[in-house]
Amino acid sequence: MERMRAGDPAGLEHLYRRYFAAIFRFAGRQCGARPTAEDIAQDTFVRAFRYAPSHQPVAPVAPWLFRIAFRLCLDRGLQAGRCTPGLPPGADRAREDPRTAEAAEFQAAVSTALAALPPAQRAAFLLHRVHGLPIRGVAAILECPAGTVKSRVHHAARRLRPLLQAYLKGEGPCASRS
Amino acid sequence: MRIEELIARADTAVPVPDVWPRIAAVVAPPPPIRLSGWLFQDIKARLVRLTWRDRRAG
Repeated sequence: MERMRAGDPAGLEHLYRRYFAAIFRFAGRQCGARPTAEDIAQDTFVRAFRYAPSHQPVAPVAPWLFRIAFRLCLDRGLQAGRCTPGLPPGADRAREDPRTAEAAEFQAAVSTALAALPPAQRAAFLLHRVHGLPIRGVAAILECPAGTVKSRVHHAARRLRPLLQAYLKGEGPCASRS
Repeated sequence: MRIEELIARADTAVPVPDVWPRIAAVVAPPPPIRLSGWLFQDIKARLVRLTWRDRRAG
């Protein structure tokens, strides 16, 4: 981060190697289309490089990056329902993979379940439970109180559970692999 | 299995693109301006002439 603040792209590359996959997956779950997710993830790191001097040295990096990505999702109006949220970027490629139709079915089930959530609940659940950010960090990203984040995560989990019940019980491809 | 583990497993099955070359191209500092040989010689000659003229003018 120090190197990045000094304008050294090598510092950004370090961040990229560490966080790009998570940011890309988050953007994909929020917006759906793979090219859009790629653009958002890419812009996130370009903006991070530009805004690096304004980042406080003591502040954790991950919430800061997710915040930039989330703002980009909002800026593009993706939360306003102009696209199909919840589809993983590259799900089409997973379906093309002839290895298992079962795996494609599993991907589709997860995508459909996440798409059924309101954007704010989905973002709170993904950031806290899937990407492991603390409640306070998520609250800062979503610009809402910590209590609201907890409530959103709870409601999201309650909605997702029946939709993914078959896989949670141990059926489906994920169970056979674990 | 927990819901988040299920989603994480679905996520990891999706290939992640490598866009670092594109990002690096955007954030890279601009290359230094290099004058080609003849242009450099031309500018140098003009500067020498100007300096000489200044000296003569006193």
